[in-house]
Amino acid sequence: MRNIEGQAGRHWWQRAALSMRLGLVALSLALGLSGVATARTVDDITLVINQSPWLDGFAKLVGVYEKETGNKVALDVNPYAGSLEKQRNAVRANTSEYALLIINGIFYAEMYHGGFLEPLQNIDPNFKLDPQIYSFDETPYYDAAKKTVNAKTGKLMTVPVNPNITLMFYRKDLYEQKGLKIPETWDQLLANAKALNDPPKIYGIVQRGARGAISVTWDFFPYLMSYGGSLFANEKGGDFTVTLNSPQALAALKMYLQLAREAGPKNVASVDQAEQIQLLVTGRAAQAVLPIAAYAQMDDPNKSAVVGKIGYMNLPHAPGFPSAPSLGHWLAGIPKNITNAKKQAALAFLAWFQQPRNQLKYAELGGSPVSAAAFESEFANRPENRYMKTVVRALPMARQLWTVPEGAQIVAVMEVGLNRIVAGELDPAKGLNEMAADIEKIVAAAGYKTGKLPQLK
Amino acid sequence: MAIQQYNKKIKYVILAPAVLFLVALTLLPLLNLVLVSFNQVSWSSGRSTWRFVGFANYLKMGADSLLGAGVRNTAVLVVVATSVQVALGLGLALMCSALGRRSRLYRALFLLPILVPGIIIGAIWKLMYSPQFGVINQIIGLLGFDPVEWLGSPATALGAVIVVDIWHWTPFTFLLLLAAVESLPVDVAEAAKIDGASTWQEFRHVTLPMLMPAIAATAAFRAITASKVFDEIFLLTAGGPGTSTEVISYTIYQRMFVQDNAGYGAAISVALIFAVALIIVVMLTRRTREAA
Repeated sequence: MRNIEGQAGRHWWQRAALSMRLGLVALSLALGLSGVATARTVDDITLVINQSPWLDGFAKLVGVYEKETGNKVALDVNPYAGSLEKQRNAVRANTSEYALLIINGIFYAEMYHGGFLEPLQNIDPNFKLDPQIYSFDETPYYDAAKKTVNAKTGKLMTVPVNPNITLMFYRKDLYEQKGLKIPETWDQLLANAKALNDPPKIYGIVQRGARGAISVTWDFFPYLMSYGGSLFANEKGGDFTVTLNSPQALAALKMYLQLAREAGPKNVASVDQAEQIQLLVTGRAAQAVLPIAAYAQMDDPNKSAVVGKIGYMNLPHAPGFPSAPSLGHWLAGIPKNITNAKKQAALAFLAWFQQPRNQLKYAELGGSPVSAAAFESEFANRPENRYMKTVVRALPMARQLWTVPEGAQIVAVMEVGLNRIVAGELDPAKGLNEMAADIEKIVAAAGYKTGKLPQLK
Repeated sequence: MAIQQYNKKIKYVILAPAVLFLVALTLLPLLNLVLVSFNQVSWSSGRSTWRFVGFANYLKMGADSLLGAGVRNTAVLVVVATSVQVALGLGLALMCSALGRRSRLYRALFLLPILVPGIIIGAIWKLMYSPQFGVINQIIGLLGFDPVEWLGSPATALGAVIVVDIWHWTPFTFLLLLAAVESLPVDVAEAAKIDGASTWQEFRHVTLPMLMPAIAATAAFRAITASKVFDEIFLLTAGGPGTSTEVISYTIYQRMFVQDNAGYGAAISVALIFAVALIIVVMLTRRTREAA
C-alpha cells in the first residue's frame, strides 16, 4: 500500500491532470467550431501589388477578408517598377503565379491590349461592378474590337481598388494665418506659395521632379491638361498626332518650373513622392501635389508633425480651362492563365471587396476606398475624412494620361525629358520638341495615325 | 594500355555534367539573347510575336542619347572608382600588414561596408545625402556652408554615387591586396633595408613591383564589376538628375524591362558583352606579350 501522502499527491495530481485534459478538449472543440465557422470556401490565392502609401490599409482589409471568410490571400509586395515586371512575367508564362494583378492606371492598357486578362463575366456571368464603385473614366471596361475603354460596348475586365487621383495637400493653418484664399488658378497658387515660402524653415510648395518609373510625368500632366494642352490631338477619335510641344504645353511647363524655382527647394530634380510627403509631414513644406492615398500619413501621430493641419484642395487650372487631376488609379484584374478554381477565388475576393460595408471598412483602416458608399455618406463628414469631399469634386474632372499600350515607352521618354528640364540640363522648348519627336517615333512604329506639331522656338 | 585509354575517356565523362551545366546556364541564355537582339517582340491576345528586324536594333544605339550618356558615365565611374579603390585598398592592406596581429580589429571594420546589403546602402546614403535631413549637410552647415544637393544637382550627383561605390567596394580590393601583401617574401624587403633603402624607396622599388600582378588583377576584377554598376544608381538617383548618373546597366534595365523593348535591350546587352570581352582579350594579350 502506498503512503497516504503519496496517495493524496497522486489524487491531487490526477484531478489536476483530468482538469487539464477536459480544458484541452473544450479548447479544441471551440477552435474546431470556429474553424468550421470560417472554413475556406475557395482556393488560396496570391496577388501582386506595389509598395505605396495605401498598401497598409489594403493589407489590413485583406486581413479582415481572411478572418471573415476563412479564405487566404497572400500579398507579394514590390516596388512600383518591380510589380509591373512581375505582372508581365506572370501573364506571359504558361501559368501565372498570381491570381490577382493590381495594375496601375498608367499601364492597364498594356494588359487589355495584350489580351492577358479574363473578362470577369467569363468567370461569373452574374458578376457586376457595384453601382456605387466609381468607374474612373470607364477604365474597368474594354472593347477589344475597337481597342478602347467603353462602359457600354466593352467587357468588364477589372475592379478599381484605389482611386489615386492628385489633390493639393496644403497647410490650412498657415493659409488661415496669412489670410490666403484657396487658389483657383496656377498664378494664384504661385502667389500663395511665395507668400508662404520661408526657406530653409518652410518651402511654399515642393514640386516633384525626380525620374522614376512614373514620377515627374504624373505630376506634370495636370498642368499640361489644365492649360488646354494634351499628349495627342484626339486620342479617342484615333488621331495620335503628338501635341506635347504646343504653346499650351510650354506655358504649363514654365508654370511648373516657376513654382519649383521661386517657391520651393533649390533643386527638385531628385525630389520624389516620398520626399514630398516627408517634407509635408515634418512641417518643412506648405503644400504639395500628392495622390490621395497619402492622406493616411498626414494625421498619423507616429509619422506626422502636422496632425489635423493638412487640408485638401482641388488642383488649380489656367483661366478658361477646368482643373485636370491625373488618374493614377489601380485596377485589380484576373489573368487568363490560371485555373478556374483560382479565378473563382480571385473573383470572390473582388466581390467582397466592392461591397459598400467593406469599402467603409477599407476607409476606416486607412485605405483609399473607391465607392460612393464611403465618399458620399455621413462617413465623409468626419474630420479625419475631410479629404473625401475634395475627391468627390475632383473625380469627374480626373483625366487619364493615355490609353495606348505603348504607355511604358512614352513615360520613359517623358521621365527623362522632364527630369532633364527640371535639372536645368535642357531648355523647356527644346525638351518638349525632343520628347514630342521621340514619342512620334514610338506611336508611328506601333502603327497609329500620327504626326507632330512644328517645333517650339 | 587499356587502362590509359579508360583514364582518357573517364576524364570527359566526369567533366561532362559540369560542361552541360555551364552550357545550359551560360551559353544557351547568351545565344537566346543574341537571337532576341535581331527581333522585335510584341504581345497580343496573350501570345508573343517575333518580327525579324536584322541589325535595326544595333543601328538604333547610335541615335540613343541616353545610351551615349550611359557609356560616358560608366567609363568615368569605372576609371575613377577603380583607381581610388585600388589605391585605398593597397594603402589599407599595407597598413594592416605592418600592424600584424594588432590589425585584427581594423580588418573587421574595413570589411563592414561589403557586408551591408545593397538596399541598406541605398537607404543609408540617400538619408546621409538628404539636403534637408542628411548628416553630411548638417556637418557642412556647422562649418558655415550652405547645404549641397548632392544627388539633386547634375554637377555633384555622379561624384556622390562614386563616393558610395568607393565606400562599398574598397573592402573588396583591400581583401585581395592584403592576401598579396602578406604573401610577399620578407627577405627581399629585409635585404633592401640592410642596403640602406628608405621606406619609400623600399616600397617604390621592391614592394610595388612585386605587387604589380596582384594590383593589375584586382584592378581588372574591379573594373569589370564596376562596369556593371546598377544597384547604387537604382537606389540613389534612378539615372538622374537628367542623365548625369545614367549608366549602361540602367539604360538596359529601362529599355528591356520598364519599356518592355526586349529586342533593343538585348542588342545593347550583346554589344556590352562584346565590348567588355574585347577589352579583356586585349589586356590579356598585352600581359602575355609583356611576360614573354
